[in-house]
Amino acid sequence: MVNKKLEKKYIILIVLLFVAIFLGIITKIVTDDRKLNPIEKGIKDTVVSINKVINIPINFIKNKVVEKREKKDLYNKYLELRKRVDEHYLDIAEMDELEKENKELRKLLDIDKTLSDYSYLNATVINRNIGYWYNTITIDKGSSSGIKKNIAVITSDGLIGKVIKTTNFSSTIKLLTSDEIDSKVSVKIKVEDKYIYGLLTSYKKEENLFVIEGISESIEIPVDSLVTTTGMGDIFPSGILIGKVKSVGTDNFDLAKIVEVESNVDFNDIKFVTVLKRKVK
Amino acid sequence: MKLVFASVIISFFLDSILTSLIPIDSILLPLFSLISLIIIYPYFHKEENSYLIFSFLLGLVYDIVYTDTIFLNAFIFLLISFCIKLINEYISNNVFNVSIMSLLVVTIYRIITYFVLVIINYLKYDFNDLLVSIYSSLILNVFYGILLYLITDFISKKYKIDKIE
Repeated sequence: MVNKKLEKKYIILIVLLFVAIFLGIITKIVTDDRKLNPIEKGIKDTVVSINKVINIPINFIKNKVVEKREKKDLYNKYLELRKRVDEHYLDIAEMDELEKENKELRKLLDIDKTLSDYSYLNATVINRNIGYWYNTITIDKGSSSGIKKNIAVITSDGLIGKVIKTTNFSSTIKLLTSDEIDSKVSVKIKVEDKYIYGLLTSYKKEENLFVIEGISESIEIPVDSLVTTTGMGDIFPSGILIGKVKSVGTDNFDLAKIVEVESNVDFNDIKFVTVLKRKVK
Repeated sequence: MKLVFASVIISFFLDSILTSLIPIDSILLPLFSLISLIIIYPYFHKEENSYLIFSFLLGLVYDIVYTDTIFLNAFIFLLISFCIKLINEYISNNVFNVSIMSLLVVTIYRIITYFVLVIINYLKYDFNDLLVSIYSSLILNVFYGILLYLITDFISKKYKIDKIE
């Protein structure tokens, strides 16, 4: 009788010990910035390659469906786009002028590369929401295409996150929407001709809004001002769009402003991304 | 055994394919690899240990390929396959029971992963988040469980593959 009771106690103790060790290991694995080992990389690469092959016919069908749907109001779209092309010509002419001027000025100042210099690499998203809680996506380009850890990733609508892990043919991207502390981003808000600097600290899931903190109370910030990255903090290049200011409030102590920024990116439905490789270290 | 591998591999790849088609805020999130564990159990009759090892390995591959959290899913899959084994001792295998088991397994999986991640301070506790994650993955997975059960049942009867009734 006594023996059995003791035995039960030991079993409970062992189970608890096992759970504690398990939680410890998981903490280390989930939160640590570890590198993937060759076995993991091998398995991941194989599965991703198979996945790509399977995805070819599926994407083909999907494209056909989209094509059919788009064909319905082709004429209206054509009119709209023609209007936009006309506007673009003006922009391009202006940009050419500015680029030339910029180059000359840089030569004068003897600057080789700035924080806003980067090269582009397009990629397709292959896994999005399997790890429901992790706020990561997987893309189909990896270290063989020159992607490295901590590179910025954007879509046509703005910044979405940074690369955290790479294998030869795939890389994992941590989205800006995750709550982790190390995802704080240094940003600037354009007010008239000046920039106001702040920190992007958190994300409100329900309203798709980012929160910027660390801005002094005395500064007036109009709604709809553009928010971009600063290039400081050595991850993101300078001048990448994050969104527009939606509302401005003050914090609990009336000391600093809290700015809410609305992003154009639909973080729930990302299909294609662009990886930015910064040239300056 | 071929049937087991085929259904698991197909479920595993379907997981990834569907996630690139369905937005994350929809109510149709796939957890097919997990569901395939329910379906393949009857084909492991008298080899329950190899069933447990199999589910552990499946979880490990799932970790490496999809979530980058080695051992988390492996152990949860092991735990869930243990539950499936226990449940199967009391109930028989039919469409109704498979759908009930799918409901249970999806709910257990979401709750365990959520609480592990909350305990290790990776997520902030928010009951609403948990609730959304559970109900958004129920419909599709129960439907898939029934479908996969019917298909494997049909094939096993046609080719007279042994399984526990």
